[in-house]
Amino acid sequence: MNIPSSEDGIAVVNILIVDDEPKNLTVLETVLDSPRYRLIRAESADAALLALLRHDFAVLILDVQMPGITGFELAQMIKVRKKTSEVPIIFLTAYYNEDQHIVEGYDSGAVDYLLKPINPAILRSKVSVLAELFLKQRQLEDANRALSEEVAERRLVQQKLGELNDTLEQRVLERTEAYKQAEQQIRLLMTEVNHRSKNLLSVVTAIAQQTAASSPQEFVRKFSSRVHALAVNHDLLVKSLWRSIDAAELISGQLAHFGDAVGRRISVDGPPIRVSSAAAQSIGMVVHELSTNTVKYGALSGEQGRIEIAWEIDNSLSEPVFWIRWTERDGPPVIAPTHRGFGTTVVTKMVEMSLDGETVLEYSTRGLIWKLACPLKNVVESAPI
Amino acid sequence: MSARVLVVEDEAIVAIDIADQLTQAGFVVVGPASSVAKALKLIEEVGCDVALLDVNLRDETAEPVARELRSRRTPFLFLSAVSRDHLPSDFSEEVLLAKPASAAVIVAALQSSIAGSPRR
Repeated sequence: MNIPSSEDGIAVVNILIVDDEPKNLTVLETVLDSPRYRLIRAESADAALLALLRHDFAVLILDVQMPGITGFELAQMIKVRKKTSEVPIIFLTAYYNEDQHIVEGYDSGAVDYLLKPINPAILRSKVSVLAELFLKQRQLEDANRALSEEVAERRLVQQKLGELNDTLEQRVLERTEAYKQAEQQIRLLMTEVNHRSKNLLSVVTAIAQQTAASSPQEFVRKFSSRVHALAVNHDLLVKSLWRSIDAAELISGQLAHFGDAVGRRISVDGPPIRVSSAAAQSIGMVVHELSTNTVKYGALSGEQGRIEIAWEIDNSLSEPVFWIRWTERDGPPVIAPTHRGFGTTVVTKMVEMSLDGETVLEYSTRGLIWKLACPLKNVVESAPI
Repeated sequence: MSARVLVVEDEAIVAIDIADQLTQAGFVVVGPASSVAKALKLIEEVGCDVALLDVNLRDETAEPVARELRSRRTPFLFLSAVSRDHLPSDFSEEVLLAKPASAAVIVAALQSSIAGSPRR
């Protein structure tokens, strides 16, 4: 509860002075005049009760002898109300100076009893003590309240801390578990990556051994170009999380070095098919070898030639068949090669073995034609088990 | 007489290259077979004196082929990118060549397998 204070910061306490005689009240005001006190006058019991409802008082100074309700009766009314029961009362009287009345005064809850004419110094001293007591009590109550609030707050903080701690422990457990799982996953992944790298190295070794060349320079050029084709396929496979590649994307990937010729001189056409990673490597290598050949000897070695790349799914048979055709037109006159190099192996034997299919390689007068037919299931990603 | 080698390998380009190298080294290559079914068919119909097996084929392992060869007392060895702990459990003592292996290593291993075979 706030203690009212005067302008210069001194704590001010309320003192209620009750007397039916205004003159007496004025005397009391004179005696108790102090910046520490706010004196509130009441000239009747009713006015006194009203003032008690409105303010908190450090001391009540009551005239015992008043018309109607006496000071004692008023004191009794004050003492039965909870809000006011603790307020100390000093009775003042000129006539009731016998012991009987003094006892009556103390019974009704007074703390003191002064006879008129009052000694100003004694009254000031008593009021001062009570005012001081009042202030101390208020300070104590405030401190007590603050302490209780602090204790409650600490308890709350401690509870929250406990909850946070539990949450933290739970999360540490979860994280540890997740970490262990991630580590396990990484280990599996590393094993898989190692396995795939070794397989890839085998493929690269095989390509190196199969790449025939008349000079070391030619070998490096051919070999690098083949390894580059593998790398292009790998990028596409990684992009699709090693699952499958769209056929058009796979073929376009191997034709990317032709730039704007794709679309203008090279058409790529077929239904959307998800090609499995294994089939993608074979088909990618075929497209690479055919496009290397066409630049050197085929349709794209001249200014006019065109290439049509088309694929289709044939559902007319009991087992669906995938076919793909590479048709060159309008190029320079076609001359069948004198020896079968690795490129030929790739577009015939290799892809046949890999996809369990059949190929046709025709050096027709209009241009080279390459065809592959194989069971669709060997090209598309197998259904997840 | 040249020894017949069954080559079981699902990576076509690698299979072709190994077959090439083995032919050059004087072997007669049976296959290459890219699946268990094809390999078993070749063992049955053509036969072989020794076999070179990749462990992981497309979506199966070469274990049934190894089992068939063992029952026929035909020597064989594995050529794979997998480590020994990934071999089928009762084949963990067999010869395992790590991929990629040079032709010289493969040829030497095949020759010693044939030499050590109880049939010879």
